[in-house]
Amino acid sequence: MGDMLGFALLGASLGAGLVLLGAANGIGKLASSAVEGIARQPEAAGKIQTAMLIAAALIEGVAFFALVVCMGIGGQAIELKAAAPAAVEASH
Amino acid sequence: MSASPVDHVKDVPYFALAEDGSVMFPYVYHDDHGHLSVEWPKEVMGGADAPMLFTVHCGSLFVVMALLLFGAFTAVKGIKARPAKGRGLSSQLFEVLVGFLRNDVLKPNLGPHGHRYEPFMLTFFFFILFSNLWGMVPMGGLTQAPTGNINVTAMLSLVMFVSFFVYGIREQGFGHFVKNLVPSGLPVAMFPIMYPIELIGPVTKCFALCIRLFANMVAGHIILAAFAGLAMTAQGTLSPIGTVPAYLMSVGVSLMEVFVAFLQAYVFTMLATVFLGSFIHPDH
Repeated sequence: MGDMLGFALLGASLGAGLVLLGAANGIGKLASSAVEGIARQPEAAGKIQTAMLIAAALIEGVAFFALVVCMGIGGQAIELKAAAPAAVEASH
Repeated sequence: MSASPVDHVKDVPYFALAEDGSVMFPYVYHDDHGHLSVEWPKEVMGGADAPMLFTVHCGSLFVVMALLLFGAFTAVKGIKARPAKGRGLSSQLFEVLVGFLRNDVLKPNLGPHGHRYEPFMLTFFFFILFSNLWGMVPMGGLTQAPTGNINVTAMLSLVMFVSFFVYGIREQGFGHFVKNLVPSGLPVAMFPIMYPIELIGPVTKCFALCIRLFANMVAGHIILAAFAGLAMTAQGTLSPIGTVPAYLMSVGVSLMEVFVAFLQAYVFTMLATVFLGSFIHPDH
């Protein structure tokens, strides 16, 4: 079971990277629309900024779900690797 | 054995209370290689019989509670005692935040009779704000953010979950509350589908609130610990090429973490208010 540690960590880190792609894409579109709105109507800058911050925090929240999952997988993979040699020796 | 950045944000016990009420402290000693090592009494590392551990998050919770009580009472005393121009620091801080939240978040969302629930939401905001900011105080071994523990944020979201139903039923009456859970004008045949969906709604919303706050705090502090470790390692090589950017990044990330502390408190309060408003007075 110890030779699967590489795959587990690869999966966890690739997952975190993909999450980053999705979140950055979404927040980038959000920021571009917000800046364009402020450019069209500078007196609404305060409201647009507030709405932008709230939406960015929500998108980041979704990204953090997946990040927590990836951290959990990585931590558990390392724990299982540390416990695996003992299990292998017990079965011999 | 080197410590990873995750070790700096994990929950660390100061002392443990054994089952008979006695207090057990960890035993710190120099091991064979000269490194400091910590040894716990054997009874602490137990499964179902593990005694209660007094951890750094638990101590920070008490500190945050003391800060909140002291700050709030001082603020109220300052507002009552002095005219509008001569108020003190905590009065002005609380007044600015409470005024901003009431005008922008609480009054529009809680409905015409929602002023009863404003203190409830404001308590959430100030508790989360003070907890997040306490984690930014240095001496990270003693001052961790309580909201960096998923149990604390789960407690907050559990309180919200229960309050949805309790306050919803109290405001609308049980019959109207159940009737307003599903959209109006729905054919009766769709009730068995819509009711479970509408009942899962609060569960996912509260779960999202919990995880968003927890993950923001934990990820931010892991990044901060990683940059601080990088700065210390670069400093050991005595070269300015690595040290200066590492220190600048540490400062920058710390400032962003203070901003994230405020933002996460605001987002939690705003979402909780919107959800509670949708349960108290659903728009028809």
